[in-house]
Amino acid sequence: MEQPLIQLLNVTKSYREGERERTIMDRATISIFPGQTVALIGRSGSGKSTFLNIVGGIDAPTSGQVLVQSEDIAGMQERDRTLFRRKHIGFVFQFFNLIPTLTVEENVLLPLELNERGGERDRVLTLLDDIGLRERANSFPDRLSGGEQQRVALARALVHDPWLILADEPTGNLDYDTGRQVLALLDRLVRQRGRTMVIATHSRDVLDIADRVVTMRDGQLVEVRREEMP
Amino acid sequence: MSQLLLRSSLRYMLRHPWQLGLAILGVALGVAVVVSIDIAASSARKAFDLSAETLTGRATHRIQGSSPLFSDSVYRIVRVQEGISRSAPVLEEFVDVSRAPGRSFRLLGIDPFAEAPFRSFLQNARSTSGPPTMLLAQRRAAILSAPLARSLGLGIGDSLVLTLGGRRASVVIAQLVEPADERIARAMESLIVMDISGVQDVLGKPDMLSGIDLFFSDADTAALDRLRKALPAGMEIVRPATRSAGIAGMTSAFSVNLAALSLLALIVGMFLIYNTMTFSVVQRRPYIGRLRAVGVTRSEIFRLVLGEATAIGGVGTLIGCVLGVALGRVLLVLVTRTINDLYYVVSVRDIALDPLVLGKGILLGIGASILAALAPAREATRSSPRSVFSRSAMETALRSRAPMLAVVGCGLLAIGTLLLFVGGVMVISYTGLLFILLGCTLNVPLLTIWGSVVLAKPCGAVLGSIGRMAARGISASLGRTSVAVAALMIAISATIGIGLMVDSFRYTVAHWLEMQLAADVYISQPSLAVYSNSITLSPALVQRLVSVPGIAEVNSIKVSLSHYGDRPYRLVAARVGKRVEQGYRLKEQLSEPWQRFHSGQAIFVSEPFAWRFGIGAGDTLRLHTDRGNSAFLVAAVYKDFSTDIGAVLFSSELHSRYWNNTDVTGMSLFAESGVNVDELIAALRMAAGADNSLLIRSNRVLRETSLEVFDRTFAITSVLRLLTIVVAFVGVLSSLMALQLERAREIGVLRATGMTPFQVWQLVTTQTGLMGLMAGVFALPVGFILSVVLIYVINRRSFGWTLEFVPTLGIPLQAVVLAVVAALLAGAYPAWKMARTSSAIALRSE
Repeated sequence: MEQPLIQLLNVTKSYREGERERTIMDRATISIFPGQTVALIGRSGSGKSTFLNIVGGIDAPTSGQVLVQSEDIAGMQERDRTLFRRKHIGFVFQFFNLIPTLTVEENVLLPLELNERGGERDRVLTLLDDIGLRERANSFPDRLSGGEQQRVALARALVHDPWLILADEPTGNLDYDTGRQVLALLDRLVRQRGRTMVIATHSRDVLDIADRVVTMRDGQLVEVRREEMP
Repeated sequence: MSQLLLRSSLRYMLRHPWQLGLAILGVALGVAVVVSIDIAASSARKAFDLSAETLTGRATHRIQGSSPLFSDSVYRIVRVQEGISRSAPVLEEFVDVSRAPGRSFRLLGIDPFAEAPFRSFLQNARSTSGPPTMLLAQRRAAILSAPLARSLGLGIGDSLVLTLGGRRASVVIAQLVEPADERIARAMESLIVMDISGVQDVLGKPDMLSGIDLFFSDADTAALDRLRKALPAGMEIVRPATRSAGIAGMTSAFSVNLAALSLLALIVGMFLIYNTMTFSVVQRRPYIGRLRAVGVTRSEIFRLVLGEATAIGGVGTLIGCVLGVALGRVLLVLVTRTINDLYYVVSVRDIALDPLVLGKGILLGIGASILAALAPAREATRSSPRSVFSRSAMETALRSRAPMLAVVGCGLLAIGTLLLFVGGVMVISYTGLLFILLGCTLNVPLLTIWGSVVLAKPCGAVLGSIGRMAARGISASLGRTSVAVAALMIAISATIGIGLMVDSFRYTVAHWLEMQLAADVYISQPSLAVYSNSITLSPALVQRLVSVPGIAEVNSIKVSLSHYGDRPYRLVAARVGKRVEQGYRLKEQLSEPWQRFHSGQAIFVSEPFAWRFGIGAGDTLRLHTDRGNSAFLVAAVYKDFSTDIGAVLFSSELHSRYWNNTDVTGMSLFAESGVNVDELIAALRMAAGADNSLLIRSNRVLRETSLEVFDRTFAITSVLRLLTIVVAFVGVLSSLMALQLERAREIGVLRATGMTPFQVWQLVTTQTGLMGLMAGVFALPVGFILSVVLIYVINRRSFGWTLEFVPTLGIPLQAVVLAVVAALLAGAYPAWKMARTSSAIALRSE
């Protein structure tokens, strides 16, 4: 039987808000298999971003196990989590989050350089060709449109061949048409590489490219069947 | 470190040129002040050492008397009786040259036939006209270095008029020597060499010497001992280096104080770096968050921020070193003038660039930059990638930490105070002072929160919601505002502290002068040298002066430089009349001190002497006299602000029993009642004779002259104070500009909701003005603390003086006004810029 790429086992995440403690994830459990694209839906504040942050090693759970390729990243030191993220995870954000002081090409090159693969510039250029921004390689992000910036962010998330791509509302800041184009591009790039992806979203369009749909409900991760979707 | 990260950092800095430029300027100014003070002090010291070394030549020992001059019969003992051939007599004095007013020259008398083994610079010099020593056989023939002659516009055969305490003597330039190297050139730039008999003639001191140079190898200890035994009482053999070090050491307290004050400018500069780096971290929180999200580790972020600080510090330090060299040239004039006024004669024509001084400046500049950036760098790494997306996270954290910071600050204040009480060493006292300043700084965030709450109401009453927003905005951006307020507070408190200290010092000295200078008329010989070997009032002149009618009481004084161990002190022999006696403020005394003094049973020591050597009333002091080592009972410790090297006061009668030369160097006279002082002065001038340039001054004139010297001494302190303000101003400008420019988006929202450009201008200038006001008000207690520490601890430990603390209102008020004006000026550009900014542009994100 195939091993899951991601396994969350009884993961709880609580925050202190003043005197109160607020539990975002409450003994959440899920397995995600290699090559799957999982859409994570839910109301604002339901814990979608928290889930991504925990899987991506940006945040640590209060309790529970987070196994990525059988490695428990919840038990890792902060530095090890960062290095793990650097190597195996690609992030795509709603607000693009490109580095304003680096050019398009340098932004995409950054994950490679951090992984001491700075010599693989060809990969960057190929990817820029793929996303149709080769001619903008030397532009700074503030010269690009929102859609173009998000395409660069996709390239940055994929350039170092991570096991897992985590996308947090990748179309949330784009108009409908651009959002669809970006989504299609993301789907193509991820599937071409046979990678696994989790997308937190409000967009119904995402559901079209997802293999599975999961929702956060009362701190739990619940599988949603297509016929149950609103 | 990734090349891309470095490139990104560099681009970030270049995209904020104002911020970068001001940070660099802040470090540059801080380093420039430290380097310039160091260069000025070390150049003066180097000039002295170089001159002493070169003039001493190869002499290993020197015979000197307990008085500055002694009979040349001692030389006969050395040369003839003891048969020591490697010995050479010298007679040195400082003279003025009419062609170079205000500059002292060293007149060195040598015996050309005994000189050969000693001062090689005369032999090695490339003479322009025959062997130098041969020409010295001519009476009143002088040798000068060729560059000196050129600077005076003189050549061979020209006359040079030397002035010494009213005596004028003309000498002929017989020889010019071209110095063989730079070292000799420097040593000879204020040197006039003559045959010893010529110098005796010029000084009017026939048969007198000031020293005998000797050359002994280390193995000759037996010969040295024999010579010691053969010398008359009062003569001693010293090592020239020890003697020079003792004289140069007279300025050590002065130098340490200057260095400490210059460090204050660097501390303010550190605030600037801290502020810049904190701001850049805060501004880049989203950017840092993105880096963390793609896998940049905390330590990489830490190194990145520190690297930026190092780069800023490096560039600032380099510029600071260049500025420091230029500023050092200006300060050298002030330092040299003070040394000449108070300590010893030194002639410094240009700065001496010591790689060590520059190295120290570089280390301090870069070190301070890194130190200042540690906290922001740590701040940048501490947040998780999730929280770095939140800009308010740090502000919230700081606000909640403010009470804790205040508690830590109070702890540091307590430690600092303890160190001040404990420390006998100056470094500990200064460390205590640093702790106190840091402690005060850590209280600033909490005080700023309180201040903005307190100010919100009156501001609201005057300016409505804009006033309230301005006041509350300070507390809302505490991370940046409190740093700006703290930097300005420290700088302003430094100006208050130093200002109050100087004012108190001046008041104390003026009061002391008023008490001390009770006589109507003071007479002395003019001299640029504070201590002279031969300037005295001759007995015949004294006789002529005291026989002028209308004089009720005559007091006389003889001042010379002597040595207690290796350290110099001022030896004062005075005929103290009843009325002068009342001017002395005794700090410590035995019973009936004046009776003991007048009867020759005891002496007095000055407060700095008592402090330096740990001597008090009732102690026995052993001094080197013309009769050998003699013990004296100390009957009192008196206040004396005329010198910080310490003074010992003898009655003239007691002094004459132990020292041969009893010629007086000054007199003070009381006029009979009804006698007009100006008329008495005119009569005294008549009696002195037309050729005599005696200084005959009323007590008012002398007081004014003394205070002029005081003001000259503190001129450099005022320059430092001014420079500290400039550094602080740059700091405030930088932080307020950064702060306000960062609010562009917020201002855009306000403009979009209907705020007019004038209201934006009002909001920004009110906020910066309030910050200035807070800094000024917070600086008041800190400045008072600083002045109290400077007066009661630093000055006391440096110089041994007890000053009266005079808390005047003018300086603190000026300081508060200065703070507000500086802050308003610093806010002017951002206010103007933001009022003009289109809200559409300001609102555009990314």
